[in-house]
Amino acid sequence: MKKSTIIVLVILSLVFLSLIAIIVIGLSAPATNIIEPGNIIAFIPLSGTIAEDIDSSVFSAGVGITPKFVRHRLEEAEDNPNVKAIILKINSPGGSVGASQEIAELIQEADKPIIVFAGDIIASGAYYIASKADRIVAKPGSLVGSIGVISQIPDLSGLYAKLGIKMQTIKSGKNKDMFGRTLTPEEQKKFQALSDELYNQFVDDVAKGRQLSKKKVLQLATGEVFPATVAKKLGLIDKVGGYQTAIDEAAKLAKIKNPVVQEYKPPSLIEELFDMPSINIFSLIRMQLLGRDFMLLESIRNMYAVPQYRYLGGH
Amino acid sequence: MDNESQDLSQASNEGIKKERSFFDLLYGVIANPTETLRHIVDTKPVLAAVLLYAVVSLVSGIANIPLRLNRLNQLSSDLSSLNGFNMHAAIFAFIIIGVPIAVFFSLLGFLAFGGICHLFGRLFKGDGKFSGLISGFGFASFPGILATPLILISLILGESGNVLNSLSSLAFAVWVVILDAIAIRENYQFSTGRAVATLISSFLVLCLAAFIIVMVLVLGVAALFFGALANR
Repeated sequence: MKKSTIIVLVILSLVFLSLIAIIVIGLSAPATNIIEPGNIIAFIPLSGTIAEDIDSSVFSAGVGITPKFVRHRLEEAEDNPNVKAIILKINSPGGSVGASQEIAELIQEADKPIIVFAGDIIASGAYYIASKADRIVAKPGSLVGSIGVISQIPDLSGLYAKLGIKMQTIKSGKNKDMFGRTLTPEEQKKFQALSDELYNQFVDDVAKGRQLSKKKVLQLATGEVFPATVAKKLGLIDKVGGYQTAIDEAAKLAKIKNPVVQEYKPPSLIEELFDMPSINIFSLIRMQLLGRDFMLLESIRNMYAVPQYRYLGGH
Repeated sequence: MDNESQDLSQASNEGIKKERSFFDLLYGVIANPTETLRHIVDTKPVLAAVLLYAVVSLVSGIANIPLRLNRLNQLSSDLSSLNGFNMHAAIFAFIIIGVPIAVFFSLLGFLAFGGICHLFGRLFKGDGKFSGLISGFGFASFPGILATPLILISLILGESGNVLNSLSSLAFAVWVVILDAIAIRENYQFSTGRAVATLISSFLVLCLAAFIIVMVLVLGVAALFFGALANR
């Protein structure tokens, strides 16, 4: 056999053996790491006002917490057998009553342990949903609480008078127009009763979630916020600490060692652009066509004549 | 030199050409590239060259699987959240589907690049055939296969092997590019400068073509998107 043939055969043999070794090493190592971690803690950041839908106007950045978003994230975490616990990092002043209650129910019904880790603030509706978690961890300076209900209905009669606009109302039903004018004392009483009912629901649910007496929650339910250090003493949260404390608590509840944190990554700008075209582009086009003032008026109109009770605080 | 001795010399050269086996050519590409590539572009073993290029692509594709899997590993948190996701199946599919597709497109790119090079070779007043160029390019790709043992060493070294892998990849790429330039020079029988100019021009045109294709696709998708938006 010629020298050149021998050299080439040696080279090819070396290449072939290297290839086999690469296949064996390459396929065995990462596969074991990926398939059976079984120690994942899902980390889901939730930020902004709680609402049924994210406000798509140009006056808000489209940031918020919706029941749909929370449900999808929780379903993903619940369906993944490798996820053993869920941390919800909430930074929110609260929001609408219905959306808060829906999210609270989702948290309550989750099979896996849920830990709420407070951002700068978990107030009102945000605290409502946090109260249903297995543990609440907050940083020393996080603001916690604001148990209460607020409703504000704009009275535009003065503006209309200034503009010379006279509303003509045709109604069937005594109180049908009460959201569109100054309230009578009787109507104010009705609204107060409504607010009180929602307040009682809030207090009852916090008492159940935090396993506190209703009497104690009523004492705390003044609408005020507390720093986490005080909130801990009052029983509103379980631990004062940071990110690692939240992970340690989650690992303890899930009974796992060496947890791996899997943080939810929001979709990229391109994905968001294609996924939710109505949010930003459409609003911008409308603003361009209709003008900023018209859009602002539309925002006010959306608030007008609609009763809005909110578990909102921390402002 | 009289006619008789010229004929003898030609016959002798043809005799040498015929005597060279496939292994001789592979060895020659490494040990004596200029003379070997000259012989290859003259004899034009197109099928052997294309097959060799396909094998080199296949070996490189397989050898680089662990690197791709490392990237998959980085995405493992996302993948593991998919209900019913089977990593074994994904790896299997990756090898079964991914590697042959990569080889196919690699061959497609090889032929396209050869075609563009041929146009520029002619443009630069070269006198050579496409089959000769493809034969030269095919054999010039052979050193790429030698990177495989170094990929193995990089893999064994782990994180610190990334530098070795990057450096060796660069070194072998430069080696192959130099051999390509020699193949062009020998095929078209012009200067090294023109061969390098042919290579660079072809590379730029290929990049431009790829950019245009990507832009057309992106603009097409964007047009569909904005069209749908306008019809809301």
